[in-house]
Amino acid sequence: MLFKEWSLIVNSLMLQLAAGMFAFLALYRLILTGDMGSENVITMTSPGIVLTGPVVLAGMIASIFHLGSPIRAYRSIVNVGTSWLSREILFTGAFFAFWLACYWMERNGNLNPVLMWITVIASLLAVVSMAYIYYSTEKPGWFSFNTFTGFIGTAVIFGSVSSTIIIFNSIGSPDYIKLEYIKPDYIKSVLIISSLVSLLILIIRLIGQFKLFPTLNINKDEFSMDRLVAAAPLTSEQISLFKLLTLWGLGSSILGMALILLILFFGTIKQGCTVIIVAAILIALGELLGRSGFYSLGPDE
Amino acid sequence: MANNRYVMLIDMKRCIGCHTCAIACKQGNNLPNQIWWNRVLTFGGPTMDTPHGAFPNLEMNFLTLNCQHCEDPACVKACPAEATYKREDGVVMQDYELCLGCRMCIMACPYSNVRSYNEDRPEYYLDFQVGDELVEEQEKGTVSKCTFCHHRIDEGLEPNCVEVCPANARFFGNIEDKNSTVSQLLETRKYTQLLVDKGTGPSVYYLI
Amino acid sequence: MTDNEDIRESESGENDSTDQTAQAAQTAQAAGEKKYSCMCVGNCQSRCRLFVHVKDGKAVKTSMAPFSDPRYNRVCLRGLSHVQRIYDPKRLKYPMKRVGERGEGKFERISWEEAIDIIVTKFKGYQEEFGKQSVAFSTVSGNMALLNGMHSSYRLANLMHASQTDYSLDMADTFGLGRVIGSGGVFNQSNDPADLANAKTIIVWAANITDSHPHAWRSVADAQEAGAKVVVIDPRFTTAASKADQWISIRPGSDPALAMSMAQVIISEKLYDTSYMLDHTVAPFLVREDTKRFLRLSDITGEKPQKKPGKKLKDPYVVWDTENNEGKVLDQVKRPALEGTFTVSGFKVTTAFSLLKEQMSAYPPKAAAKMCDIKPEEIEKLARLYATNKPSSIYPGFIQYNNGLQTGHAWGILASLTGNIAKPGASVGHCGLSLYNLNVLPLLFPKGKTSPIIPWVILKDVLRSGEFHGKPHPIKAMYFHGSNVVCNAANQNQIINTILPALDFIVVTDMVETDTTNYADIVLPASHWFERLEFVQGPDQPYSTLSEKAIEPAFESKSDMDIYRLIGKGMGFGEFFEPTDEDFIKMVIDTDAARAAGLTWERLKKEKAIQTLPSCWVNWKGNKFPSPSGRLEFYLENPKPRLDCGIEIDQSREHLPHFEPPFEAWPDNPLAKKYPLVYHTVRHRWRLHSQWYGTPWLRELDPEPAVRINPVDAKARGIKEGDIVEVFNDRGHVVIKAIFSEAQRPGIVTVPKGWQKEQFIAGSYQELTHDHVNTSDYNQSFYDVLCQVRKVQDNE
Repeated sequence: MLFKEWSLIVNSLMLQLAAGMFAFLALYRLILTGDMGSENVITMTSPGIVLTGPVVLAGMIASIFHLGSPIRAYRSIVNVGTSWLSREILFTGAFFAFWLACYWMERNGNLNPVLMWITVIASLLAVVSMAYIYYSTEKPGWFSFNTFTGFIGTAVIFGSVSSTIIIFNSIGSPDYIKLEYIKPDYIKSVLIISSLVSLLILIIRLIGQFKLFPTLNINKDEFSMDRLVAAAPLTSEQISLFKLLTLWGLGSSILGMALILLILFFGTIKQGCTVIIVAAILIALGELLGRSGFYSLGPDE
Repeated sequence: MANNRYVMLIDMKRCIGCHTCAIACKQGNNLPNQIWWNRVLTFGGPTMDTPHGAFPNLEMNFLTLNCQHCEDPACVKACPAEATYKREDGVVMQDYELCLGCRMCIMACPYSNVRSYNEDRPEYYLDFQVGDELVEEQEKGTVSKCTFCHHRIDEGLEPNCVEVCPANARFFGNIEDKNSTVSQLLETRKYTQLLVDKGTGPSVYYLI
Repeated sequence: MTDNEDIRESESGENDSTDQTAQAAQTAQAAGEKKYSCMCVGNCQSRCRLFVHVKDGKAVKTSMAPFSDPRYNRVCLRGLSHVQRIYDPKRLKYPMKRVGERGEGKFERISWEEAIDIIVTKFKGYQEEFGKQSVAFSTVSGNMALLNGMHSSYRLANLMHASQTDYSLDMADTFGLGRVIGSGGVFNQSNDPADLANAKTIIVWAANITDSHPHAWRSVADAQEAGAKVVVIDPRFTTAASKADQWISIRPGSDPALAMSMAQVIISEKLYDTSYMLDHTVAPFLVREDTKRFLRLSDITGEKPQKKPGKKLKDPYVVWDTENNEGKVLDQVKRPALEGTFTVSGFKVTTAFSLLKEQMSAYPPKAAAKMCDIKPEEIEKLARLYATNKPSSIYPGFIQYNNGLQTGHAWGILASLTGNIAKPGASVGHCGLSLYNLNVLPLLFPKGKTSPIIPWVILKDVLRSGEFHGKPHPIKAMYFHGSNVVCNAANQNQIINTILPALDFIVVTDMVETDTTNYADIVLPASHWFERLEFVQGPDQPYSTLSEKAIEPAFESKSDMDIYRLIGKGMGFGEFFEPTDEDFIKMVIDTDAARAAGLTWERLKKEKAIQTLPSCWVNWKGNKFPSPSGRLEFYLENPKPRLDCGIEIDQSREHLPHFEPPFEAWPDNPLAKKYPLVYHTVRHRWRLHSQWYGTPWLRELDPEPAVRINPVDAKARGIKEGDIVEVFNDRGHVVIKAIFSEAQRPGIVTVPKGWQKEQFIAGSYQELTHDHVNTSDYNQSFYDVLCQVRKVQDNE
């Protein structure tokens, strides 16, 4: 039951990872180029940009396993007019298509920033559509603001962490350090800002979840016809599992993020390269737990 | 008639929770094992046929629940594949051949368990098709639900559940026709609908 | 009912029901599917007409088939589950011979020839060695149709001079009321249940009407919509109680006290209908103080009346003429005295009404309310409603206590006092008319009535002593048909451990494996109702119907009549079984009365359902009752037991009813200290007695048996909802899941009826019931039982 919806868990996390990573890397290309020289920034961010597509694809493939009739998956974009699922798939498809173009240009060394930003917009729309899929259901715990802080938040957090890893690895690499003109302090402050934003999102989530928890206990004894026929209230087991996963997930993510900030403030790049992997694992685990908690609420039970 | 809009009325004063409608639906639509498009809920205590309150101050009623065939159906909006759609006469349909099995409709529907998902290949107790000949076969990985027995109403018959009600508690007809039984009853009787605040405009009315 | 009614009518082109039916059958043939008109013939008395849709030789659907009067269109959840019953996973496929111990359920397939040969050889052997009576046939209500129900069994038993068991079920109140009407211990008491719609007051008395007779409930609901008051008397908060204007939860088994107290209120407040009583009841009859019999002309003249050949013995009743102040023959008196004690020709006599008044005076509301555990005002209110808001009907359930007889008698008194009988909307008793206008006796008794009838409840004594009626009466073999006696008769352990072992040879025919087939030496597979031709008439609808053979018998099954044909031939009665099913039906309906009602074979074959009684017909029309006086005999001058078993009864206690506590389930019973809870085995919509016990669709909705208990009683025993509990008494136990229900009156637990032994965790619901013999009514009191409940296992 916990991982019954593994395909949706993987799908959502992958999409958010890809979207966040791509957006952050695009951002870094924009804001760092002046200081670091476009060559360096491109070298630094290129692996992430290349990786984005396969991640999106992996997520899309995973999502097919959620379908009862996967052969008909192609029909899922038929109802863009009203279905958030159609929209999500459309935007995810667009994200992937634009990425392909980006990838082609990147290989030829002439990635057009406008195309890059169009790709970012498509990816964000995909993430927002995905959040709306759940926000517009009748599931307690899903039609909540937390779904947005959850889904968009994961994209931001994953984007921040993945780009931090990429930059750390680049900076930490021997040939990079030789470069005299880098301004690590500047990069550091950019990373600190993105990590602080991530931490802020986690705190907002924490508050949001504590606001949500009490509302999950719908009074089953309420004697009304509407109560009787409304989408089944969550069982107490479901609620406690959801709380457990959510809190452990948040704890793990916050710990990971704190570790990153610790390194950014007090550590060296050398230390950072290993610690940040530990932190990233904590955050990935945290998001996985949180998302598992989210999907443990539905869709079927 | 040019503009038909079908509605179903259930007289809660008459309904005795006997489940004949549920069985008629199960048989007529050849529903797979464990799938019930039309369920009978006890509006009382937590278990079937138990009342609300403490002995001897008790109250109990029955509420049969099937797809509410909403005017503005949340399921139709949510379905990415247009597998669930609304006919002109208001009947909300599910096309098994178009359904992806994504269950968005189940998640979007305000009513619990009016849609069923065939996670595995549908199973039956008998090795031949029972019920109405025109009923489409259900498929693995698709969602199914009450169709107001579209195959019957298109031939001028009542839905299976309405025809059989031992208590004469179920009514079906065209609400646009002011002389129809359903219009007359809605004019003369007090009624309620389920989860109106969801704004989906259900086509099932409960006479109270 | 709906818009589509118009469609149905317009399809038929005209309102002629005949055409409609014929046409419906024709349109059915579209699309490779054939529809047959069949009858559902379970013991619920609704007798629903069904279409059986057949495709490729298999029944694929049952649907409601119309009657000419759409008010009678009816079906229920069981009727719509026949497809699964026909192809039931537990269906018996072949004749079988026992190879294991009895009860073990180990059998071996044999051929029909071998099975019949074994049966015939055994039966002949026993009859030669121990006498004709040593073979006994036992049939109950598994099939209520003309040919394959009880009648086929009666036919062979009477040809063989074999013994038969009487059902001895739960019809004590039927007999109590039947004594007043004069109809005896059989059904055919009430008006057409559809006539309930014409009542202004309906008392649903201990009937789980919505589950057991949903189509009768339909008429109650119609009446209620038209402003009638509906009162439900039931310890339990039933669905009917939830719909009623008033629900009276009485102490179990206090029904006679309530009924007699209502009579007391009606008498003391003079709410009775004097002219009805004078004209149609024995109220003015004079009861002799010495003999307790009605005073007759021969008492005065001293001349014994001569019986004229072919005519009933005539000895006119004498009443008190208030105009001349003398006792005179009834039809010579204009204004007979209703009350008073007089002396006529030296005999001290009192009117039956005065005796009734005196007898009922022991049950004023205050006293009765204590017995019933209700408020006295409730009784007063109910009595006034019944007596004044007329017409009133009592729709009874089965009063399954040892005092059921008194309850039925008291209902007869209520009807007598108020005239709430034999009128539209005024009815009392069980079931409408069935098998009327017919020539049924030649089917049952082709060579006369020869079969000794032994009530099931005393069978154990007959087997033990080898005597019946004081004469040797060994029984060696039994043939069960249409009865799952191990599951449905009381005191299961006694049946299994005493009755069945006393029999050398047991044959059971059934459609499916049951608790009873498990104990058979030979099991014979019976065909399903739709696999044979049948004739069905009434009781709870006004039609005479032909039930077509829609499909061939599944596997090697045969119709019960065909099985009797084979045995009958083997026993040397072949000629009596030569007529085909069709011949038998033609013979039975070949009467002037049937023809006058429009019933002929030709019409039957064409139309399948012929209305042979008017809609909403009234029973006992013109207040013509089959009692000796032709009146309602609320005072019984010569009460006799339901069956003559050579056992005398104390008549002095049965002229008028009195309150006798239940045999077991009463708080004063010392046994209540050990077993403080009353145990009810209730009838649900999910089964009909034990039929449909394994039907998969029904089991999806109602998957397992559970005991329902009030949370107060449960908590006192440390039981939580869903715990596994043992319900037990000295006779046996059942281990079962507990469900909390506030519908349960504290002090009563209910277990649903009809589950087979294997469906319980341990034991069986029927182990706890007792078979105490009431020698007046010879019935079983299934509700008159005490028990205790304890927790066995926690709900995980």
